[in-house]
Amino acid sequence: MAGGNLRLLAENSAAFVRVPIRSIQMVVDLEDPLAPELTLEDFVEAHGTGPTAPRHRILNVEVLTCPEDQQPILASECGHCPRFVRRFDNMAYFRRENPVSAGSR
Amino acid sequence: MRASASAGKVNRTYLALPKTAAALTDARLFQEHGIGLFTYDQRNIEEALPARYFETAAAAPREVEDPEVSQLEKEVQQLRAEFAALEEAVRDLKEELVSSKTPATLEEGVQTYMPERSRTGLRVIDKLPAYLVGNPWVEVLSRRGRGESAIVS
Repeated sequence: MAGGNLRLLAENSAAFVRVPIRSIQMVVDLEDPLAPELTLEDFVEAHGTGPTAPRHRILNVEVLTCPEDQQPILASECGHCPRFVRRFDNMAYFRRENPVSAGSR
Repeated sequence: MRASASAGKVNRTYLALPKTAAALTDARLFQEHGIGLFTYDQRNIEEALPARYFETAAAAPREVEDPEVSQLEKEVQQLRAEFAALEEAVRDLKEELVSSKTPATLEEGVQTYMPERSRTGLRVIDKLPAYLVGNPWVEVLSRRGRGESAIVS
């Protein structure tokens, strides 16, 4: 029943665009401001060891491609977009048309 | 957490979140609990995720909230309490009646052993004043006098 409901959702129609959200874990060095921010995998590869607690912090950065201008954006920025509908299962759902411009037509 | 506790107890449960918060929260979490999601910003409010409809939750409140049934239940309880009180009162009255009857029978027994002389000495008054007619104290006082005379003799 729930699966049936999902299939009938408006997001699966042509009126919506689905954009995958990518989560990237970044390591930040708090003591050395000149140290480059690396992904966790790259950090382990470069240093041969994992990040240590007081000096390094791991940040989870969620990015996606903005359907408006095809530029990379943070997932948190989607909340300011009038086309954004919801985030579901690491996918961002947007309206194909901007409701503000469609309403002004 | 509070919303997930109410899911299943009511027909539909919704959460309203600002769009900025909804962009950070995965709606799958709400869908697993059957909770719907409304998002809002300065411009509009929209249903981002429909809530699941719970059938079982609909029947339970109807049973509880039926005013006629609850009123009847209250009345039956009141009647039961009153009936129990009345039963107790009747039982007490019966006991009192039995205990009040017991000395009277003993006195009657004593009367049978009274001498004939004292009985014949009683005068029957045909016309009694109204306050003496049917007054139980007349009988009690007359017996008391007889008893004393019997003891003296």
